[in-house]
Amino acid sequence: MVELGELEKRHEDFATRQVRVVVISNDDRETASATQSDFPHLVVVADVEQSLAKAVAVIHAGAGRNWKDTNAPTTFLVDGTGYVRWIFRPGRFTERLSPDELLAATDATWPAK
Amino acid sequence: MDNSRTAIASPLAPPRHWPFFFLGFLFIILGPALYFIRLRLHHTETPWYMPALTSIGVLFAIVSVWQRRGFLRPVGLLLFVLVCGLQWFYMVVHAKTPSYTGPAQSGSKVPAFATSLSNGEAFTDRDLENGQRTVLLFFRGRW
Repeated sequence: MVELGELEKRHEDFATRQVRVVVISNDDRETASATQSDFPHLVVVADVEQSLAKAVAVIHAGAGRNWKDTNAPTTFLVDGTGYVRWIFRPGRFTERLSPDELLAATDATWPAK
Repeated sequence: MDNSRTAIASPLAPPRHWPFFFLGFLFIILGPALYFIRLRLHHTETPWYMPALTSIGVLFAIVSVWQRRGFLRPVGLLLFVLVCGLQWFYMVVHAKTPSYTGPAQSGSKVPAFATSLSNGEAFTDRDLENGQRTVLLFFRGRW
């Protein structure tokens, strides 16, 4: 949860840019609620049935706990009309984007006027 | 009193060796320790140093077994090789993520979906069309 903690700490930087951070896993509702409590400035989605993950095809088959399917770590920047503007998928799931890298991507995608 | 005998090393005493096995063990635990510390410092890069350090540890253990065989050292070496193999397998094969080839490519609309927020409220593709810029971040879950 290092990744979410780091994003939570930088929530003001995202708010300044008028960007909300929505985080999605297939954790059950109870676990997702705990995550929401821990990171109140992020929007936590409890994608239990992986409806969203299936729609955008980010399921990593057999890579989860007990060899179950889980989400391949993937980040999308979506504009206010529902169009994807930027995608990041690390080469390995041990790798994460830092908040600075994500903020740099938002600045490059949506330069300040 | 004759002290001259104490100055002469016994020919039966085993030859002194560098503690290669212990050194190998240190290298093997150094990788996970470093990973833990770097995580605490919020560094989330791929920890290639972990299997690399373990491999160095295995080399030290091989030197140790070469110098002095016995029973325990070869068994320890086997364990080290197993740990090393598992770490390389994890890093090279298991942790690898496939390239993204899904429909939500840059410039495409996010496909229709319906899921829910942690509080049970609905969250659909329409919520991405309300004028608000959004980072959608998929993570592997809380485990």
